[in-house]
Order: sequence, then C-alpha cells, then structure tokens
Amino acid sequence: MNSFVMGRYVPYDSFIHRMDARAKIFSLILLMVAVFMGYSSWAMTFTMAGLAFIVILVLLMASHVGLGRLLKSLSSLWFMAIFLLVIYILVPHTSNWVAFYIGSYAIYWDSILEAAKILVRLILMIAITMVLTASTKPLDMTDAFEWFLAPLKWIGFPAHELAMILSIALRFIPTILEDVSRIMKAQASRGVDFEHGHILAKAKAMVSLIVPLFVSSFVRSEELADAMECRGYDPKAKRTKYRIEKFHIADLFETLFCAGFLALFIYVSVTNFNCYEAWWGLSVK
Amino acid sequence: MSVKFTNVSYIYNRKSPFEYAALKDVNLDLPEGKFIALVGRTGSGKSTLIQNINALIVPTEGKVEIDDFVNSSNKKERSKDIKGLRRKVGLVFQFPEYQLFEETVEKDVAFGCKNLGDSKEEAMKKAHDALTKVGLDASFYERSPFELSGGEKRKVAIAGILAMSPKILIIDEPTAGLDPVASFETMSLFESIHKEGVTVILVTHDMNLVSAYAEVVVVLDNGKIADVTTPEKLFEEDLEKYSLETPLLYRTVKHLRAKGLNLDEKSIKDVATLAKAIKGAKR
Amino acid sequence: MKIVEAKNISYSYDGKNEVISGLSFSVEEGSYVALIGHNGSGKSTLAKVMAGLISNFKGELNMFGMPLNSKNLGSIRSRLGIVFQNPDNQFVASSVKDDIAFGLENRCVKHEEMDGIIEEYAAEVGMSDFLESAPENLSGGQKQRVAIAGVLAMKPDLIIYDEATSMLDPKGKEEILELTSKMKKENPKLTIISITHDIEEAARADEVLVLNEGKLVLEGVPNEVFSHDKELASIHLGSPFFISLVRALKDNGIIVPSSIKDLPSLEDFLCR
Repeated sequence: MNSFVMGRYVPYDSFIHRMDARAKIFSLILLMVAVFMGYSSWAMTFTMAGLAFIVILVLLMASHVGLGRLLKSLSSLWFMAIFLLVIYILVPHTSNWVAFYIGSYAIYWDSILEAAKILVRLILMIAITMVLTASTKPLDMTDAFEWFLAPLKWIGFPAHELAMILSIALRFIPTILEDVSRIMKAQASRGVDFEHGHILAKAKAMVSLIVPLFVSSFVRSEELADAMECRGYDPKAKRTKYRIEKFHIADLFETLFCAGFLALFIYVSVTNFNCYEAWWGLSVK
Repeated sequence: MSVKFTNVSYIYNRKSPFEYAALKDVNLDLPEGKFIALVGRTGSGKSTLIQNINALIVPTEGKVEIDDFVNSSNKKERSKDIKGLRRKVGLVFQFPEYQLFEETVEKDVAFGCKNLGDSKEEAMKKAHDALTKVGLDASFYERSPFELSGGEKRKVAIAGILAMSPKILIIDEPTAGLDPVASFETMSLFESIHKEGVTVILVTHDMNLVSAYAEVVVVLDNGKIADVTTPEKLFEEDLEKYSLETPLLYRTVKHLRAKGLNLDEKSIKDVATLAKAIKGAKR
Repeated sequence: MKIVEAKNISYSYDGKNEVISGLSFSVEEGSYVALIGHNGSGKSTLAKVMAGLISNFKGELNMFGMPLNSKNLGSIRSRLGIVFQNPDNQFVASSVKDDIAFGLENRCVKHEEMDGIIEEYAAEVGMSDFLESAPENLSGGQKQRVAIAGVLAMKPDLIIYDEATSMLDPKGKEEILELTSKMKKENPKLTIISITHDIEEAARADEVLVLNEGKLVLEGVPNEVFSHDKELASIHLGSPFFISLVRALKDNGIIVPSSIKDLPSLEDFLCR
C-alpha cells in the first residue's frame, strides 16, 4: 500500500532531476569546495556565503525541497551551535575587537563570527546534500558510485560487488520493513509492549524483534545467493549492463556552471579581493 | 466470549495520497464457541478485521467489543487492559515460525505467559502442557528453536499461543506451506482445541478446509461483510464473484446436477459418498 | 535425449543421516515430471543437487548428457532455469524489468538487445503492464511470474520448479499452473520438473516420481502411480480428486473407460 520513499527522494521533473547522477555528484562536490574557501575579511566571508546560499537555494527549489524541509533538518543543529560558541569563546586569541562583557569577562566578536562561519558552512553542506538526495533516485546514486569507483578495480577494490550489495540492500528495505511490522505484531499478540515499561522490559522486547529479524534476513540472503548463482551471477566474470546512463550536453553546461562558480570563489579567496574596499571604498572587518 | 463489530471502518494511511479503506462499515456478531471461517480474496480486509479483535489496531470508526473490552475509535471509550485482552484472544499469524527467538524451545513457548504476568514456574508448566498438546515431547524443551525443522518450528510457535489458554483462537492460514500430512495434523489440533470450548476463527483461502472444519463462514468482499452462512449454503453460490474457489467435490456435484443427474446432495460429504450418490441417481 | 539421468544419488547434510539415498531415475526431453513427497522427503535437496548447489553428493548425475561437475557446471547452468519457493528471495532488483535483465547481464547479452527480450518475456508471463513495478507492490503470484520470465529469457532446455507454488494463494497457484501449460504447448521440447506436494498439480504431469524419506518409492504416469492408493496412504499422500472419484465409482460398480482423462469428460460420461 505505502510506496516507500527512500532518502527523502522527491519525484519531480526538474533540470536537476534530469541531470546525470555522476555529473551531479561531481558538480555538487565542486560547490562544496567553494563553500570552504577562506577570505580576507569577515564581511567578505559572509558575503560569499550569502552568494553561495542563494545559488544553493535555487537548486533546492528546483529539486522541489521546501525551505521548511531544510529548516526542519537543521533543528538538530542548535546544540552544536551552542557548543561551538562556547568553545570559541573559551579559546584564547589575539584580537581586541570586543563584542560585549559578561561581568568582567570579554566576549570577542572573533569568537562569535568564527562559530557562525562554521555553522553557516555546515548549513550549506547540508543543503547541498539535500539537493543531491532529493533529486537523485537511490539506485542512480549507486550506479554513479560504482562508475566513480570503477578505476579502483585495477587495484582489486570490489567496486562492482559494493554497488551490487548497495542495490540489493535498497531493494530489500521495504521487504524487511514489512518483516519488522509483522514480527512486532506477532510479538505484541504474545503480550510484548514495545512502548511502555522499564528499560529491561523494553530491551527484552527489542530482542524479540531483532533476533527473528536477523534470522529471517540470513535465510533471505542465503536463498537469494543461491538464486543469483543459479541465474549465472559471477561478480568476477564479465557482465553487460542494462542500466546505462549517457551524458548529455545539459550535464556539461551544468557542470561548467559549477566549475565557474568554484573558480570565482577561488579567485576571490586567492587574491584577497575585498569588494567593499574595491568598489565602495569602505573599510570593514 | 462474544465478539461484536459495530459500524467498524479502518482506513490505512489517512490524509496521505495512499489512503486506503480496508474495512467499510462492518457490523458483525461472531457466535460464541463455534468454528468460524473468515474467507475472502487477498486484499478483502481479513487481516485488518482480525487485528481489530486483539486490538493490534484501533478502528478508524466504530467499535469492536470483545467481551467487556472495548476497542473503539473513540479514545474515551477505549478499554485499557490490553494485556488482559491478549490473554483472551490468541492470534497465530501466517508462517508463525518467523516469530521464534528464544534460546530454548520451552523459553519461547513460555514467553507469552511471562509477558502476561505469570511467574516463571507457572509459565514453564503451561509451556510444557502446550508442547505436549502440539505433539512435542520433553526432548524438545531444551533445544534451540533454530535447529528444528520447519514443521517443528511451526508447532513451537503455535504452542506459544496455546500456552496462554486463549478463549478465542484466531489462526491465519495455518496450513500455508505445509504438506497434506502436516496440514491434517495441524487442523486436527485446532479441531480438538475447538472441542474444548474455544471459539476458533480460521482465516483461509483454502475452501477445502472451510468445508472440512467450519461451522460458520463469514465472507469478506472489498472491506464489507458479503455473507455470513454455513459452508454447505456457501458452496451453493457462485463463489467466482468473491474470487474464491469452490472445492472440487461441490463443483462436481453442481455440474452433475446442472447436467441433469438427480443427486441426493445431503448425503454427499466426500468422494466415497459422492460415488454412492451417483450410483443411486443412475438407477 | 535424456535431459536428466541420475544413478544412485545419495546425500547427507551432517554425514550421518542420508536425506536422499540411492535415487535412480531419468527424465526424457519434453516431459513434464512431478516429484512429490512429504516435507522432509528430500525433494528440495534433490532440486539443489540438480541445480549444482550441492556438489559433494554421491552417485552419478548426468544433465543434458554431461556429468555434473565443476567443469560442466557453467554450461549446464546456462541450459537450466530454476524457480524457487519464496517469491521475494529470488527477486534481485528493484523493478520487474531490472530483475529480468539480471540474468541477461550475467550472460553478457548485448545492451541494445535487452529491452526487446525483456518486453517479450514479460508479455509471455502477462506482466507487461508491470515493467516499472517494484517487488513490494507485487503479489506472490506476480513475483513468481517475473521469476519465470527471467528464467524463460535465458531460453533454458530444463526448468525446475522447487515448490514454486507452495507459498502462493489459490489464485497465484492457478496463474502459475496455467502459465506452465501455456509454456509447454508453445515449446514441446521444454522439459519441466516440478517439485511439489500439490497432488492436483501432480495429476496434470506426464510422469510422477514419489519420494519418501529420501527414497524413490513409485514412478510412472499419474494414473498408474495414483492407483497405488494404499501405498500412498501409508506414506501420507492422497490421490487427485479425479482419480479417487474414478476408483470410488468402480467400487460402486460404475466402470469408467480409460479414454476419459479429466473431470469435465467424466461428468459428461456420468450424465449420459
């Protein structure tokens, strides 16, 4: 009844969705590198971050991920934010730029901005990852990873086997979830309470779920292995591929755009360009 | 122990694009102490119906009363003693051997009793009694359930439910995957439990089982109760409309009658009596 | 040609109790053989031996005229297709078309040819409308049909059903049996060995082999085998309805001519 949506993939038909998974992964990595560049002043840092955010926001909207979704996934970052802030406030440093005092203890702007910078980068990384998972079918990602890791076959890295394991795992997730539901109901019918009770009772409840699940999963994998063997599967032997993705011109343009974006960020970083000074003659930190 | 459904509806995945009504306004009074068969094609709502009886799920609308326990869509009406209900209503799922997990057979069979509050000794005694009922002797007590054969595992699983001495026993496709011998053994076990006064609700696709064991048949079609009748009356109808198969015996009787043979149908119970009846009709 | 020739096959999992012992039988090309027996009689073990999944068995086994050993395993497997009991545990991919493609990939079929083959065999088993469907949205019968499509796409000479219908509901069982009849009609040279405990299915076969506790106790055409009703009862197997009825009629003085081979003709005969 419920068609399972894995990794928050959002079925849609945008330019991002249509993009070849391999080009997408590569382009998004370029974007991630851009996010980690360092700049001459705080103003530039946050300006460039803002620029990156606008671009990524456009991509997010194209992948049909609402801003609400992004905000929800960030809610768990509050703890990290406070943790970072405290660490940076406590670390001694050289700047004299004071923000405010708590009693007689000085809190410097540098600490706050440093923490903010890390937080912002984190948010941008999460957003970029969401663009990837929302616009790419899990199986396409698996194929892409196999393609990227293929050269490693020369040094004996089992790229194909890993990809096969991943795709089989994806295929069985809904099946195993059904098993979980069935086992939980069967045990509940025997008086097991998965929700209430003290720690020991809940642990026992979990055992009554996990043991049968493991056992049935092992049986599944054995039977599946037999079936695959009988159908002629040999990971070491040569095989052809049914799912083949071809690059399109659009992928080239999209990748070039991201490369250009990264180039811009690298330029600004390396030349210590400060647009506030250069364009408006302002002196900012 | 009475079971009464009043205007029960059940909807899966409410308020989502996958919304699906498995039960639609079901009203049903299950007769006490009978061997009841619940039939219907896959997807007709059988599993949903039985899960309402032991409160694994709560109706979206309406209520189910099992004795004095109320499983109602209305939170205020709902009874709280679920464990008490689970003791009274035993549910054996399809392929129950998949729920085994304990280190030893006797521990697994005693698991249900322990959860419901029995002391270790009481639970063990009930477990041993149940194992004897299913035909597994003391040599099985300390063995690991995972080293048993499929048929033995299933017996252990069934014993686990019987140990709780339910007054209503619901069994979902108990003979699935079993060969004819094991099938017969299993059904004989349930028949003897039934004779002790337990209401048995058999959920099945196998109309031969219905014919052989059921006293009352409830037919579900597309989430609604299509009929509540006896096996003999049921087989008179055209079961194709429910995607069910009339057992060969009754199908043949119908065909012969349609082709003009005057059979004394009341006497026909199996192949031997059918042959006799045919002989009688041809004289 | 003898598709399968077994001489004295024995096997034991633990080295002590033989699950199958001294099995000798042969299967002719183009026949539909039912192998019946109670659970634990060794049927599935025999299926595994024929599939090459068990290699250290005793005795001689020739498949397609070649002895079954590690050297010939590849070429034997390329002519053999097996459909297993659990519909989920042989469905490898995330969609019907990808699953049928799996076998084609293993055999290095050219990419360009794959779509055509997949569509052809999906149509053959009646699953053309479900090419993009994921296994969790399919019924047991549908998944087994996909398994059969995957097997047929390899154009095997022998198909083994290892209790392929025992986990299905009556509708699913009927789907598979009808499909099998269709396959046999369209390809008379296709050999099918069906391991089952469904007596009614066995009645439709050309030949029946009866296994009990690892030994072959009866073999022959269905009418022959099922006439041994006392022996069958002693090993807890029944007879198909049609054959039981014919016998019961005989007990009541009504002799049914041997030209009558199925229930509809029997009904006509009785109503004359």
